[in-house]
Parts: sequence; C-alpha cells; structure tokens
Amino acid sequence: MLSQLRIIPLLPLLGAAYLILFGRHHSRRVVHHIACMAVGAALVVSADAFFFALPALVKEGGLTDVVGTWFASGDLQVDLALRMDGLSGLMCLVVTFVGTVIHIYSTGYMAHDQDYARFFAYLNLFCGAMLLLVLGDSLPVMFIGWEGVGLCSYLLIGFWYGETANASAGKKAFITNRVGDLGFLIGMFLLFRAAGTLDIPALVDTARAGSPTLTATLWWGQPVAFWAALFLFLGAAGKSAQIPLYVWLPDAMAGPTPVSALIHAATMVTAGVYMVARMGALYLLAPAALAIVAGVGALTALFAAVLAFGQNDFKKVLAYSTISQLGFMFVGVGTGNFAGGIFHLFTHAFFKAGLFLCAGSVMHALAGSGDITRMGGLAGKLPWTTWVFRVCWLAICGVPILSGFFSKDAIVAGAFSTEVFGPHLAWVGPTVGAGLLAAALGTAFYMSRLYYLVFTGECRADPRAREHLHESPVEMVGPLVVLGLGAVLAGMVGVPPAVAGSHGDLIGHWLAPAVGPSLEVSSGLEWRVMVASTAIALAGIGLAWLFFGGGAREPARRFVAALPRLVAAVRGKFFVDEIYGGLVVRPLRGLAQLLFVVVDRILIDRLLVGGWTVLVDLIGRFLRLLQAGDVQRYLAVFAIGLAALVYVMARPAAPSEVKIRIDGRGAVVELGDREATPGKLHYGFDFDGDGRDDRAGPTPSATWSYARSGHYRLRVRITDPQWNTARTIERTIDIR
Amino acid sequence: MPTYAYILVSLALFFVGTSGVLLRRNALIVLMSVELQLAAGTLALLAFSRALGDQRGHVFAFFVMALAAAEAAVGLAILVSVFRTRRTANLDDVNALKG
Repeated sequence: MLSQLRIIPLLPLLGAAYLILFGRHHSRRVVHHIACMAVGAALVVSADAFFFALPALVKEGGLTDVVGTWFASGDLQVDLALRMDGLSGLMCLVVTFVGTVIHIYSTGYMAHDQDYARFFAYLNLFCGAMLLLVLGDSLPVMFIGWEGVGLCSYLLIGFWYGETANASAGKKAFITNRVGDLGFLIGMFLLFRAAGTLDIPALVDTARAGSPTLTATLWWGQPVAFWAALFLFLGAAGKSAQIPLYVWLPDAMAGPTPVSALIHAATMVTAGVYMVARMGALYLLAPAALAIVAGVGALTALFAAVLAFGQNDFKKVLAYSTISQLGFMFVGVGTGNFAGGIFHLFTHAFFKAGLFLCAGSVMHALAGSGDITRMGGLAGKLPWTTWVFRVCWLAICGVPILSGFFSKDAIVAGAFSTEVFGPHLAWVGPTVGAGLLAAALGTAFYMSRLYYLVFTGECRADPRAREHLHESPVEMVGPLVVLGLGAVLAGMVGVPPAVAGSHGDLIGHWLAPAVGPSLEVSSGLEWRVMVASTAIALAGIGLAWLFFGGGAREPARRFVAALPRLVAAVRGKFFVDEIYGGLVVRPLRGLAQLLFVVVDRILIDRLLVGGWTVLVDLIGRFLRLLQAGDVQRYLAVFAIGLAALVYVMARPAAPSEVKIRIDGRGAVVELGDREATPGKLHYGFDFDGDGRDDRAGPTPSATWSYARSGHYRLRVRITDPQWNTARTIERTIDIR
Repeated sequence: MPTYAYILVSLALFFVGTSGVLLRRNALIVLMSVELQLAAGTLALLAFSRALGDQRGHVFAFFVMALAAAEAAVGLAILVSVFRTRRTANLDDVNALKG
C-alpha cells in the first residue's frame, strides 16, 4: 500500500470533488470534517511513507508509483508517475502538515462565511494539486499540479468575488503567472528537444553526466542547459513572485487569510524554489543561469524588504516579507546550495504560516480590519496570538536558535563559500551574500515595525472595535501554537556542523541523494556569518524600536519629514504597478480595443454578418420584380419555358445501350435503340477523335479499323433531321 | 383533305388564341381567347382521331367541350365578381397578388 503514492494527492482531490458536488447539502460540521479528514489522511499516509518506507530507499531514488501511461506521441512518452524521494517527501510532509493545520484554523476563521463548502472544496483541491506538483515524476505531471495550484490560487484570491478588487486581484495573479508558465513550457520544450525525455530522473541523470546534448551551444553562445534553465526559472519567478513577476503577490492578500498563509506563504509560492532544486543538476551545468537565479533572488530579497517598510496593511507587509524570503531561497538554490534553499523553505513554511495566521487572528479580533495604523497595544488582549507572533517574528528576524536563524545562515554562509560560479563569475557569491545581509537587516526592521505597531503601545482602534476585542477560539489558537512550536524547532534539522559536529545538517544529508551534497562551509566562516547575522538581526530590531517602539515615535516622524520623496516612493511601491500598467497593460488594452473595433465591429459585424443580409436583401429586391401580379406576364414566361422544354425533349432519345466490341485493331459500335423509328435518325461516327465523321448514315452501327494502337476518343452524333436536333455520345477506347 | 391541313388550321387557331390571352387586356376577351385555344386542341384531337382510326380522340373532344363550358362559367363568374368590386375588367389593374 505504501508504494501507492497516488493515494496522497487523490485523498484531497476526492474531498474537493465531493465538496464541490454535494457540499452545499451538508452542514458546516460535516463539510469541515470531510475537508480536514481528507488532508489529515493525506498527512498520515505521507508521514507513514516518509518515516517508515522512505529511509531505506532514499539513496536508491525513493518510492515510485506509476499509475499508467498518460500519453505517448512519437518519441515522447509521458507516464502519470509519482516519486517520493528525500526532497519531494519533505515537501509532501510540509504541504500536508501545514495544510492540515490551516484547514483546522479555517474552521474557526471562516465559521461565519456563507460559502463554507466552496471554501473547503477549493482548499482541498489546492492541496491535491500541490501534492501532484510535488510528487510528479515528470515535468508534464508537475506542470499539471503547477497549473492546478495556480487555478486554486485564482479561485481563492477571488473567493469573495462580490468585491471587484478581489476579483481583479485573482485575475492579476492568474495572468502574471501565465507569463511565467509560458517560460516553464518553453523550458520543457527545449529540454525535450535536447534530451528526448521529460522524466525528471532521466533529465537529472543526463545533466549530471554532463551530456553534450545539454552542453551544446544553442543561442548567443550559451548552451541548451542555460536557456532551458533560464526559461524554467521564468516559470519559477512567476509562481514564486520574483522580480519581474512579483507584483501579483501583494494583491493576492485580497483572499481569506488562511489562503494567504497556506498558498501565498507556505506552499504554492515555494513551488518555484522546489522546481529549481529538483532540476538542480541542470542549473549546475549553466553557471550563468545560476548567477541569474541568485542575482534575481538577492535583488528581490532586498527590494521587497524595502517595499515592506512603507506598507500599512498587516497582510501586505507579510506579503512583501514572503517575496523577500523567497528571494533568500532563490539565492540558496542559485548558489548551488540546494539543501540550504529547501531548508529555508521548510522553516519559512512554519514561521510565515504562523505569522499569517496571527494576522488572521488579529483581524478576526478587529472585525476584519488589517490597517496597522489603527492597531497597537494588542499584546494584553490577545495573549496566545501575541506569543506565537513574537516567536515567529524573532524566527524570521534570525534571532539565534530559532528556525529562521539557522536556515538564513545556511543560505548566507553558502553564498559566501560557493564555488559553482567558476572563476569568471566568482564575484556573484559574495555579492549576493552581502545583499542578503542587507535584506536581513531590512527584514528585522520591517518585522519589528510590524510587531511594535500592532502589539505595543496605545490601542488606536476605534472604541467600538476595542470593546469587541477578543482572543480567537481554540480551533484557531491551536494551529497557531503548533506552527509557533514549528517555528522554534524546525531549525534543529539543519544546525550547521560547526555547531553540532556530526549531528549537524541532518537535512543536507537527507536531501543529498536528491539534490547533491551540501556545500562545504568552513567552520570559521560559519561562525563569522552567525555572529554577523545575529548582530544584524538585533540591530534591525533595535532600530525599529527606536522608530516605532510603542507606536510611531519622534525619529520616525523626523525621518518622514526629512525625506518625503523617498518615503512617497517606497509607499507607492516604486510605482512598479503603474509602470507595468503603462508598458504592458495599456498597450494590450489598446490593441484589444483596436481588434474589437476593426475585426469584430467592422469586419465581422458589418461586412460578414451585415454583408449577408445586404446580399439577401438585394436578391429579394430583384426577385420581387418577377412577381408582378400580372397573370399575362406569367403566362408569357410559361409559354417561353414550355417552348424550351419541348425543344430539349424533342432531341433524339439516348440509345438504350452502346455496345463497343474491339477485336485486335478493329472496332465495332452498335447502338441499341428500341424507341427510334428505323431510318428516321442519322448517325455520324467519329472513331479517331479528329472531329470529322468517319462513318455516317441511317444505320445505328459502324465498324472501323485503326492503323495504330493507342488511346482514342470515340464520338457518335445522333441527329434528327426533321426537328434539327442532335445528341452526342462519347467514349474512350484503348486499341492495343 | 390530308391530316396536316387540319393540324395547320388547329395551329393557327391556337396561335390566335394564345396571342389573345397574352396580349389583350380585357378579361372578357382573354376568356374568349382561351376558348379559341381549347377549340384548337379539340380540332387537333379530332383530326388525329380520324387519321388513326381511333375513337378515343372523339371521346376526348367531348371532354374538352365540357371542360370549356365549365371554365367559361367559372371564369365569367370570377370576372363579374372582380368587376363588381373593382369597377374594371382591365387585367393590368387586377394585380393585387404581387411581391
């Protein structure tokens, strides 16, 4: 049974199907029991496979389950195959665990929502699609999951579609992802053309062997591997919200908060990182592509961290934080430190999901408002939420022994010591490492700003909301505590060897068969990075305390007053949305308008549709002239027609049979004509096709002897001298 | 007299009748011309009947006469009716059934 990996994605998919079809007929209790059980069962099955079946097989490529051939065409055969190795097993566990926790949380958060069953159906569908993405053993299967999670993301962002803003946020996410998905597809095509397969293990083996099919130059002096990796990364950048395709994620916060936690923080947005790690061997063949991945990651990490300074919406701050942390992960995988990137993905799933759920809890307490300028002093009112938030906040800031500290460290230390870029691009590693340290300072600053503005100082909420303040119910607090514990403990699987000796870097050893061995980081560098990042985290927190401790303070006001332009630019998100709007959206809309007017309105409506009516109208106008209501005119036409008919019918009748006998060079033609009066008709026979009658007379038969063999056209012309009418019969004959 | 002489007379009669039907505008004259066409047909039937020694032609001649009488009765009734409603027997003015 354990080899039946198909059960894992199937359970939530079945739950989704059932809830979509019959959910509305069930009570809320039944709906959430079905949904939570479906994901919970998937968690149990994956945990069973992960802890009991997988360890023995992890070095041999893990568990596989081939459901059958999906499609085959020419050289391409794609199996619907699933594989659980160290990497996908870990992802599977994260997805089902966080998924289950968030399902339970949602039973509290969405308790009063009208579309309860629809929400859980989508949530289940998302888990199924995500598991298919993670477990898929070939790129097309992965792509199905990839599109599936995109669909669920769209459906759930626009879950409250009654508000136009929510619906357009869903569309924005979907369309932005299409751009990335096109890259994913092109990457797939390139790989298939080069390597002839789309199975991930086969591709990874080809890449590890450094096969010339992948190292051959394709365009602009770069190998196939570079272009395939680059296009795949475009897909990853769309899904994982990296520059230049990050713009959809902040808007995606329009969805319900559990969705933001599950899809837009813990799981779906990390799919890009997962995919790059999965195809790591391919990226290692192309250092330039790796450098692009790392560079984009570092730039995004820094850029999004800066943007997070200016946000006043609880969830938007967290959204930019997610973009920034995804940048960290891409630097991890982009420096060949795949285990490091996945490690950060793993810890981030806990603390970021925890932070989002805290946001949900706070907004729940404040009846839905997410404006942090209207919060403050919530620490006493929401004790559990506050404690979990504190833990997750310190974890993301990188305070020692919490999970984020170790995983962020693994990435930064890896960036400084990586050698994957080769001599020409060796500067990339330290550069992105330094960029990440700056981003880490930003992270500590904006997260602390968030904490101080929300939980400390005076409560700035309006009095009515203040009376309403309450801690969330147990089904929301429970998941919070679980994720908070995860945020504390998740880092333990990746303590660097410099600290824990041979017990360190468990996750690296676990992932090694799937993504290659962890980077070697010297002990000295490890300690230096740890000290530096601790200092940075504390500096960021301290700086934020100076500015915002207990509410916005004097230095913050003075800063805003001193640099109004910079502050406006940051608050306006550097106007990237506006730039995209001008460069992409408006030209496309203009083109669409043009096509609408020229093709639809003029060409189709006017010319094609309208043209036919005009034509029919003209024909009708002409035909009505014939029906003049004048009986005599009708009779005249009738008489002319009758005369024509008589003329046609007065032609000699066609012979009832035409017999042609060929005997050597001789040919005999006999016309059988029972109707004809003998001697009345005249028969002309043209045997050689020269247009002249060769035999003529009143007898309906003739013979001819050909001089040469060949292909002849035989023509018989029957004339009626009395009426001066004629009929012609033609045959072709072969004379040998 | 040879048969073709009768047929020539029949043809001439039919041509005169057809011309009257097609060209005259007075409905009464048109009806009379139709009678001429029918008479031409009857004459042809009788001529062939005698030439071929077949009595069926004679029988048909009686049918045509009966038909001609009925046609005249119905046609005149319609004509009277049209004249009462429209005060005209000119066929150019009776064209209500046009497209």
